[in-house]
Amino acid sequence: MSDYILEIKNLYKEYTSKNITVKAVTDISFNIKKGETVGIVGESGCGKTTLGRCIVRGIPATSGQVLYTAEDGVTYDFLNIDKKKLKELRKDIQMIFQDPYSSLDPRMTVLNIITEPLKANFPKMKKSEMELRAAEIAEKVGLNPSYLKRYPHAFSGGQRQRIGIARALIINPRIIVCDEPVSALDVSIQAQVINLLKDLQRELGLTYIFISHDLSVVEHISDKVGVMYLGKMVEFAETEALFSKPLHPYTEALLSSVPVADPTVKMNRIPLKGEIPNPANPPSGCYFHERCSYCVDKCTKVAPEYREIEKDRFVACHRAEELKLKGFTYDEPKAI
Amino acid sequence: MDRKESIVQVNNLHINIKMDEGILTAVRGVTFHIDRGETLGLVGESGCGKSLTCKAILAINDPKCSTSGEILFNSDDGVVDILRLPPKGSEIRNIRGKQISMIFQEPMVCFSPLYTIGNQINECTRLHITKDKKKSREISIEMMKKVGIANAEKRYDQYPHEFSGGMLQRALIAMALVCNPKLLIADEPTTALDVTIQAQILELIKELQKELKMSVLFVTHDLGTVARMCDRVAVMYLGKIVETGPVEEIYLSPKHPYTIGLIGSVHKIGSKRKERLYSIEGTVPLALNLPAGCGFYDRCQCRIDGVCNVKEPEPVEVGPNHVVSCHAVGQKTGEEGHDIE
Repeated sequence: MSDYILEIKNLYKEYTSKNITVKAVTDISFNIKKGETVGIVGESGCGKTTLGRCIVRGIPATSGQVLYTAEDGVTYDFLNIDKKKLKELRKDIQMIFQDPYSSLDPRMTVLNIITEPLKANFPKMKKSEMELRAAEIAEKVGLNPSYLKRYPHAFSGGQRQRIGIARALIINPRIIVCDEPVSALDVSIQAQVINLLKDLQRELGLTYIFISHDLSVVEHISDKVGVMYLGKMVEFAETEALFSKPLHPYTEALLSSVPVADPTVKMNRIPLKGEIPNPANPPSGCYFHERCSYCVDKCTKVAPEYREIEKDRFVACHRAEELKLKGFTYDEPKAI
Repeated sequence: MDRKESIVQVNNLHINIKMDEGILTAVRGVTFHIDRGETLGLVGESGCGKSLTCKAILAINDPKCSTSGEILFNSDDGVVDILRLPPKGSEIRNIRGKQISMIFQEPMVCFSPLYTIGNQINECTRLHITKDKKKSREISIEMMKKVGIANAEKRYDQYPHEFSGGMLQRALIAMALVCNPKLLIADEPTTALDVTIQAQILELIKELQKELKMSVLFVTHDLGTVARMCDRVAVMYLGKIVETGPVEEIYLSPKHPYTIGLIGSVHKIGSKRKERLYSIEGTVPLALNLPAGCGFYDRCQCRIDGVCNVKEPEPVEVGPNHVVSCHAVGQKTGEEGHDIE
C-alpha cells in the first residue's frame, strides 16, 4: 500500500486554439499524505486553478497520472479509470470553489444544492434520509438547518461559502480541492471559514489541496506548500522550511512582497524585473531567468530539472545549492 | 478649520440612502482629518461606508444619497466646504480631479475600452492644465514614465485591453496624479492585483507621495497594506469610526474589541502557528433601522448589558492621538486591551 493518498505524476495540460498552444500546466509532480494540507501558491495565470481542476478530473489533463489510493488500499490512476469506477471514486475527491456568489445556482434552494451530490451518487436514497443528512451537515458547517428551504440570495458571502463546503462534504469525501475558498470574503469572515476548514479536517480526517494567492492564509493552513510559476512547479517543501529558507529565487521574491500586518517589521522587497511572460511564448531555458536577479548563462539555455534536493524538498533551479536566499524568521508569537 | 496644517477635515458626516425597505444609515457621524503629507488609512469590512465617505469628499455620490455634515477642504482659494458647493458647479470642478483625485478599485473597469489610454489621461490635463494638445500629450507621457510604464510613447496610443492589470493600475495612478493633486484618495488600489505587483504599486504611491508632497487617504480592508503604507489609521464599523490612532499604536495596542478582532483574525507569517485564528462571530448587520446603542453590540465579546445596548459610546482619548469609542474601554482604563488568545 502506498504511503500517499494522492500522487500526482508528470501532469500536463495544454490548450490549443488557432495553432497556438498554451501550456497551462507543465510536468507537475507531487505527493500528498492522508490528512495533510498541501497549499499551492502563485500569481494569477500561473495555472493553479487548472491544476486543481485536472486533479478532480473536472477538465481532462493532456497527459500524466493522478494515483489515488482508495479506502480499500487499492491504487487507481484517477485520470485513466473507466466510467463506472470513476463514478464510484469521484465521491472521494470533491471541490470547493472560489466565488461563493457564482458557484451556487440561484434557482435552487439550499437543500437542493446540498443534496444534489447525494441524488447523483445514491439515486435510491429516500428523500427523507437526504433531508436528514443535509440538516446534519448544515449543523456541522455552522448553518441553521431551518434555513435550508431558502434560496442562495438570502445568504451572505461567508454563509454561501459554508453552503459550498456542505455540498462538498455531504458524500463523505476523503480529499477536498479548495480553490481560493476565502479570497472573496472579508477578513473577519475569512478567519471563520479557515477555522471551520481546520476543525472539519481534524474531525473527519480530510486531506486538502488548498489553492490560493494569499501567502499568509496558505502559511497558516498548510503542512506543505508548492509554488507555481508559469505552469511549472518551481518549489515544493514543508511550510516552515519553504517560508524560512526558500530555495528558488521566485519564492524569495514572492515572500518578500507579502505585506506583513505589523508596522514594526521592516520589509526588504526583492524587486522582480518586468512582467510575467506570455505563457503562449515562454522564455528559453528557465522560465524565470528574465526576471531573476541570480541568473547565469546556463539559466538562459537549459531548463532546470525539478529535483529532490533534500528529503521532501523539491526545487527547479540550477543554483539552488549555492544561493543563500532570505525568508521569514520564525519566532515566538508577540503579544498583541 | 481648527487645525491649520490639515488638508481636509471631515466633521460629523452622515450619509443616508433611501431604499424601498427604509432608510439605510450608511455613514453615521464620521469625523476625521488628514494633515499635509500624511497618509491616513481607513480600514473596515465591506459595507461599512468607507467608499461612500471617499466619494463624498469628491462630491460624486449618487444623488439618492442624502449627505449632511461638513467636509472642509483647504483648497487653493482658501477653505471651502465641499458639501455646500453645487455638485456640478465650476468650483467643485476646479477641485475634483485637480486638487483632489481618486484611484479606484478595479483598474479593468475604470477605463473606457473605446478610447486610448493617452486619450483618457489627457482628459484631465486638458481640463485643468492646458488646452494645447501637444503640450498635454507631453505632460501625460511624462507622468506615464514617472509611474513606471515602459515605452510610454507607444503605450500612450494603445487601448486598455492591451494593458495587463498592473499596468492599467499604473495608468490609473498616472491619471490621478497628472494634475499634481493635494489629496489623493486611493480606494483599495491593490485589491485586484497579485502580491508582487501590489508591492510595486504601493512603493510607487509612497515614492510619488514624497516627491509631490501630497496627502493620501488610503482605503482598504487589508491590514497588511495599511501597516506598510499609513501614518495613522481609522477603523470603521457600520458607518462609524470606532478607533483612530497612530499606526503602531493601533497594531500593537488596539483598544476597541472590533479592532482587536480584526487584527487577531489575520495570520502573521513568521509568528508561531496558532491552531485557530481569532474570529469575530456573526456578520456585519445591515444598517437599516439600527437599534440604539453600540453598533458592534451583538458581535462584541466585552459587551456590558444595560450600557452598550442602550447608549452609543462617545469617543474617548486613551493615548496621544489615540481615540476609541467603546464603553468597555472607558470602564477599564489602564488595562492593556482585551484578552483574545
